[in-house]
Amino acid sequence: MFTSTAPTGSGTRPSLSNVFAIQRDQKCGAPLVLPVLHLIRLLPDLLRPSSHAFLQTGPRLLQEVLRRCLRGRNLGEGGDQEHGVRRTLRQVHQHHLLQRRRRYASVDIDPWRWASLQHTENRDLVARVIDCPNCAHCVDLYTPEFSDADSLKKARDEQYLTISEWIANYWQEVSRNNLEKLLLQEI
Amino acid sequence: MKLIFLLALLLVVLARDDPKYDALYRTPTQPLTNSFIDAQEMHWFSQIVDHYDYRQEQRFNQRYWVVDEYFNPRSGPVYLYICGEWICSGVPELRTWVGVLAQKTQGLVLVLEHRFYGDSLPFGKQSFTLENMRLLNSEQALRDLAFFIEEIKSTQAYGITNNPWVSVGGSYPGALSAWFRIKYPHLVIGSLASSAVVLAVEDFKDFDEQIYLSSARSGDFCWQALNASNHRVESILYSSPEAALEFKSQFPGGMKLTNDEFLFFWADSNVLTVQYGGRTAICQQLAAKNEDEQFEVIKQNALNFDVYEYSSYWLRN
Repeated sequence: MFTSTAPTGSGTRPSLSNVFAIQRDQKCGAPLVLPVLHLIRLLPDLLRPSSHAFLQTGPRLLQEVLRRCLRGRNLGEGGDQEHGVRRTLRQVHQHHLLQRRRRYASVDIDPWRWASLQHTENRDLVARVIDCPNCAHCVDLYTPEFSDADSLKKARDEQYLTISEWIANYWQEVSRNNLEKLLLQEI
Repeated sequence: MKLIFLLALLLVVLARDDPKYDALYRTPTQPLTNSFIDAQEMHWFSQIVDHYDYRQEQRFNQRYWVVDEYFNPRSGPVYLYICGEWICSGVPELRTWVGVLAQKTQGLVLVLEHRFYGDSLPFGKQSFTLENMRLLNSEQALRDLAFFIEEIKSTQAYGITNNPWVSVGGSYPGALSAWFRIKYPHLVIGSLASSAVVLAVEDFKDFDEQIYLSSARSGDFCWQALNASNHRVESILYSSPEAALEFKSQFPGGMKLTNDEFLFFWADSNVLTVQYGGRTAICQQLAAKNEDEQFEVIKQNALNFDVYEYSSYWLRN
């Protein structure tokens, strides 16, 4: 059953793209020939029943092979999957240095929150996790209702205020620039 | 002397009541009516097929929607609502927060369909060949947005001149929205990124863990029932081909799914239920029931979802 410690099993599910890649290109035999030592090291993990991860289904060994198999495949414009992951993260982290005026909102029950930004110290980059019962993925974009949780209402108010501030700052900047132009002309 | 005069002038100008600034806070908030949804007008935009091929400029038609009923071109912002990996229909009825924002700030809402989805197909019916699908990626999608904004600005469509733009999106478009602000800070003044999946995670265990944590809020029985149902389906599917076929054909179109595809569908029906706010409802139904009854509840819930998009067979035929 599920343990309270971090799950040791793989959470990889056979996503559609993986399924496609396998069927389109039947040359997945090569990764089966894993180095023997490596396989021995993996054995205890591979033979564990699949119940270690909460949603995982399918024999674990097969999944592991599938994953390794797909790693070497060209999954898109940027080469293999591992490379793609690294490239995206590099972009995101590099961008954190340049960040300005972005607002992130995540929802505490949403499984996707772990692929988003949940905490920031930067005033120009606000991230909020909305803690509300029965909320959903992207709930802050939903049509506001009177019955919404207070935490959600508060998050929306905050979004509105932030955006209003951005807009106000923008127009101030515009008028300042216009003034500068005007003054330069006069001089 | 001249300097003092200039400084004084600057102070006066900055301190005066800027009508644009005031308009933001004076607008009363009225309840958003259905007219917002009805007011959406669909148009076509001539988009560049490959933004990174500088030798040619082939175009395709991309769909976009406009809601201008609240727009004050003098002071209002433009909200660019980004559509993602689905057939776009403008702002959906259940997701009108961007409309409320537009109403409060006298803004305009523009919605752009993602390339390769709905009717925004760069190569028409030939779009889904491997060769053409190389142009289906987030970088091209971001350039689509940038080119869209540039064109709207240069033609001054809808009375837009130097109005500020804000990008808005949720989930994958949320990530696009955040990335867009980074890549094109001169085109938007800020971005709203809801549940934005900006980080790439290989072997995403936290996802499963969160489904466990979320369903455990209703009590241990809930995640145990969901977990047990996965194992039960797994054992049915791998017991014999006949049993597998019998079980799968209880779902419309289900007999064409491979066992792995079906297991993905089954687990995902639970995920989607939790992810979209149905956790309490399903957990309540599971409370104080025996294992068979619980399985039946989860099966009935899974029947609410379509199997087609999990099936390589149905996606090809």
